[in-house]
Amino acid sequence: MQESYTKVTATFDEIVAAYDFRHFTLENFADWLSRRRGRTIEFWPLLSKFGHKENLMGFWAVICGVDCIAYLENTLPIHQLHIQLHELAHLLLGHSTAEFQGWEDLQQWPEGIRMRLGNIERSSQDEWEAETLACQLFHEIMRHKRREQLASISSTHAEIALYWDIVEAA
Amino acid sequence: MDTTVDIFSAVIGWLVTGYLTYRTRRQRKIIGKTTPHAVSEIWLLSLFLSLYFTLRVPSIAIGLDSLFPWHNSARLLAYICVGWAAWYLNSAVYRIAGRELSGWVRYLPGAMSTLLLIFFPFSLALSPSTGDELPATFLDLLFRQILYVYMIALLGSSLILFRTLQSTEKTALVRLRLIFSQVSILAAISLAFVKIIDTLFGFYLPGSSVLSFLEYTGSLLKAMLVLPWLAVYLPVRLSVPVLHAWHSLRALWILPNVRIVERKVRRFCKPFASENPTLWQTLRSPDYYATRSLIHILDGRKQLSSDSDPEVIQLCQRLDGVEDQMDIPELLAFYARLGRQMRRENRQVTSSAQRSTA
Repeated sequence: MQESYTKVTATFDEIVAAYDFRHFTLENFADWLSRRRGRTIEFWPLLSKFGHKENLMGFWAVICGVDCIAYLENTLPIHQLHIQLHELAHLLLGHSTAEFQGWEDLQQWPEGIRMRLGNIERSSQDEWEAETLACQLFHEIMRHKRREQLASISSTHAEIALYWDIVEAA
Repeated sequence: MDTTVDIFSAVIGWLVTGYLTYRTRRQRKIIGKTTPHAVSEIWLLSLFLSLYFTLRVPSIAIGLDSLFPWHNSARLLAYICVGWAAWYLNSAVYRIAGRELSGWVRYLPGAMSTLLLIFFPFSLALSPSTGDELPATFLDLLFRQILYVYMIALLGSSLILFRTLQSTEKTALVRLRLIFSQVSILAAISLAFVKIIDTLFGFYLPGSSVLSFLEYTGSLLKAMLVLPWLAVYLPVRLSVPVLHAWHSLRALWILPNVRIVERKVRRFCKPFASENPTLWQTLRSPDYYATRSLIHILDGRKQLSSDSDPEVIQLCQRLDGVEDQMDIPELLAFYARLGRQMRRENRQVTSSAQRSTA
């Protein structure tokens, strides 16, 4: 466990040093990561693409050379973001997943595919690492978002804010 | 102690006034527009408050008094200044809130100053300054009581508006400044109340032991008035760490309640991946662990939604009270409330079980 924790922390520190979280959007982050990996990343809503699969929140599979991330879409946006970050965390941690030549191959849900489930079933060391890194990234994003919110200002007080040293820092 | 507090308050007052003057001039240059009325009024509030504290410094008061053939000119000016400061505060808050002041209220500071000037030759001007706060004549007492009531009325009205502004304000930094302003105003109102009691005791029971206690309380309240006033103008660079610290403290406060909900969810749905932080780790990063608990809850919320166990259905109904647009702090606040509610229910169940056993 200690080894995993060290690996997660080192990866997280590396990301924080390389990526500017002040401008975080999922698309922007995925772009940055796909440039780093030299492979496109695509996001797919799980239910519309595959229908309901019990216990499944998201997965990552390589389909026709593209990193495809599916996420549960009928949950809170914040939860969706976390699921997407979990799958991206696998990529960041250098984990592997199953590769397919087409979406049809995926219908049988073969072993080896990276799945984020809603409970402990099929949990592993890699999943623990991905979830912990996702939580750390999520926390970092929220920290920056809060920083941005602190310095933003409602239009009603915008004029006064200029004199209160609030707007300038935004 | 009172003199030290007055000197300290005057220094802070002039620092704030200087800073506001610099900012106003700089922003006027950058924007090229006239200064908004509310900003000018905040500047005037600061100026009058600084003048008030300066005129309360004994050496300055004595020096000023020696220029006139009558007594207590400094005190008269100090009272006029504090009256106008309260007025400008009230007016600025009304403008920021986008409200109109009713017609007669506009004449209040002018009327108050006139009243002070009319009373002055018959009260303060006649009694040599003793350096203490005690009224020498009944007119002096009356004159001060009117001033304090006027202060309480204006400050009270400002405080109510500040509360309203705070409840609708979404920007954390502005909220922080509104909170500091309210602490300052509350201290000023309390100070006016203490002064009312102090002057009454001073006039009717000049030897009372309560007086020294009241004087000490007054000095303490002055410090409480001035420090948050300074904090209102903290630059963003300094305010943000204060807010981060506040968020962490808040997370630490709500974490036990969020964990009650998390534990309940865990009973039916073991978490996908969990950390078992030590107390030290939790204390170092409470907002991280609060977020992590929240993710477990949200996982459970989805996971258990298709379960048919009546207890799970009931739990899901309670977890479902959240809305799509809710942000992390709002979600945490929601589940912390739910956790508190669950704890109360558990306590009730335990106590009724104990009663039935007994």
